[in-house]
Amino acid sequence: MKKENDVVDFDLSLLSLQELIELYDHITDFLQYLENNKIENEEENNE
Amino acid sequence: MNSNFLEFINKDIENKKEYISVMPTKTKTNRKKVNQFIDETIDKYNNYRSSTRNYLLAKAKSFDIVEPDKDNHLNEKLENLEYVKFLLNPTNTYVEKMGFDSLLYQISNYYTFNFKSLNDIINSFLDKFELAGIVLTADDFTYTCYVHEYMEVFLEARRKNSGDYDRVAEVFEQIYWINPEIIEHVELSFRKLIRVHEKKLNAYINRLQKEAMEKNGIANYAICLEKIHSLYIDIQFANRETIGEILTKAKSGEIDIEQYLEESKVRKQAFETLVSPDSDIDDACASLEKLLANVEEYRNYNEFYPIFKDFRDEYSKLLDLKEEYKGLKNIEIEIAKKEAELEKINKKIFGTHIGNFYFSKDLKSLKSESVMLAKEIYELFKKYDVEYFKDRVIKSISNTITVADVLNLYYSYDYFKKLVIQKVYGLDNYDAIIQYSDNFDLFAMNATNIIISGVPIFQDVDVPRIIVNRYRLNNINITVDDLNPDLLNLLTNKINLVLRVTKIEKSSIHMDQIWFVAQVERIINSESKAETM
Repeated sequence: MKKENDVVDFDLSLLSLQELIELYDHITDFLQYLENNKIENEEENNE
Repeated sequence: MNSNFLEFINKDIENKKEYISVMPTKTKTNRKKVNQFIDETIDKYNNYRSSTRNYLLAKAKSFDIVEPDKDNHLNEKLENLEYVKFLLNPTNTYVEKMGFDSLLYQISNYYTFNFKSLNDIINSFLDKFELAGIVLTADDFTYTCYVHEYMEVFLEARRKNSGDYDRVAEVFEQIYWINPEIIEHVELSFRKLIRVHEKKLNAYINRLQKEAMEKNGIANYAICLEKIHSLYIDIQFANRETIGEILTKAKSGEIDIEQYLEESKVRKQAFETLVSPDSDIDDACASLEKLLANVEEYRNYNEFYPIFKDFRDEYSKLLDLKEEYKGLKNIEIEIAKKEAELEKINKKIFGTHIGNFYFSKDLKSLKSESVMLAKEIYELFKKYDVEYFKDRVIKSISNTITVADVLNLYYSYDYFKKLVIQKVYGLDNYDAIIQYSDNFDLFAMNATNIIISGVPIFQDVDVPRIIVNRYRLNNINITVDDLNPDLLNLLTNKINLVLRVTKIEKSSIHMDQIWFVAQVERIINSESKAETM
């Protein structure tokens, strides 16, 4: 697995207070989405 | 795209969702690749979340409000003055000022409430006598031979001060099966001793009054009341909600800050009802603060209305009393007669010097007689209590007696206050009675009560209408329905909302900053919950 080395620069001070909360909530919701969309591992001995 | 990280994230999320939705999943290798991509994305987004979270926390902290601790010296001053007021209260006697009435209530309800320690109650009685310089001995407890025997052992255990009351418990057990009313007779004993030592106890109270008045610079009761009233107003002002407190409540969720935002319908409606567009906002807020206090007073009036109604039902007939009422005097004469009879029997019993379980047939029958007489006297004291309070009522009753007067009367007589609470609320749990009693006292002690001073107890008064009409003059359009007892919380929330919004708008913090801090608190709390799951 190739790990991404990109670093994202961001300046959160440019966001309004509402946008900051929205940002955090969207990131959290997306993380939940990712967890929900992982495919269940099959048994090792079926390989 | 540094100018707007939110836009970047939203776009990135959209793209990744799209990508994940079209990734093949048929083979095992496919599925492995999907999970690998998801894991890498999770890592990246966890970093984004962590950085964002840190920023949110720092930003929220920058809005923290540091306020000095509230000064307690006013409360301490009030406590001192309340003590002076308690001592100088012209409504009650040395019995109530010594706190004997509270102890009599406890001992007379011992069986009903299962107090964990009768010993504590008896020791409290003895302590109070000792404060007044009266050290009681076994010879003072001759109400019956059984009281004498019990108290002799009790006083011995008390004198040893070792906390070992096992012997007392043994003797109680022995006596109880011959004389199950032993506790009632101990109560009678204390009632008698309180009467016998009236002079000395009064002298003690007079000394305490003098000391307290000198220490606090109070010349008389009226001046004490004035000072307390003035202090209450100062304390109310000092205790006004600060911005820091509003922020704390928003963080905890006690205030729903969404309702405070400018676009909120709840906020709009509250202002429409309570603040006329023509009025000066400071004047409006001053009126609203008074309204808040009035609503609280009305809430208390409603809560304790059963007590006021009971008083009205019980004592309205006394208004028509034409001749001097002799109820108390008559019962006192009856009790004195029976106690004199008991005294004669006791002289015979105590004259024999024979122990409890080895006695002649005559002695046995004398002891039984003394117990039966003590039982009769105990029943007479129940009537005495009724007449005693009735006598107090008669002394103060008139057509114009107000709710405030009745509040003060019950506040001055703890024993009767608790009895009436027990009766009107149907309570048999001691803690519940004490809760009501304490709340009643707080209501009675509030020197800024204003409505109840004008409500006559023997007449029907539409208190909500009085409040509504008063505030109509200030263009505050509350209705009688708003003052429905079940809706008072709604009304106080509305008033508090207007007061808080006004306060925030005059301060250095903005409403959206308070909203932000509340959101960050929500985030921290939900993270803690997720961690513990």
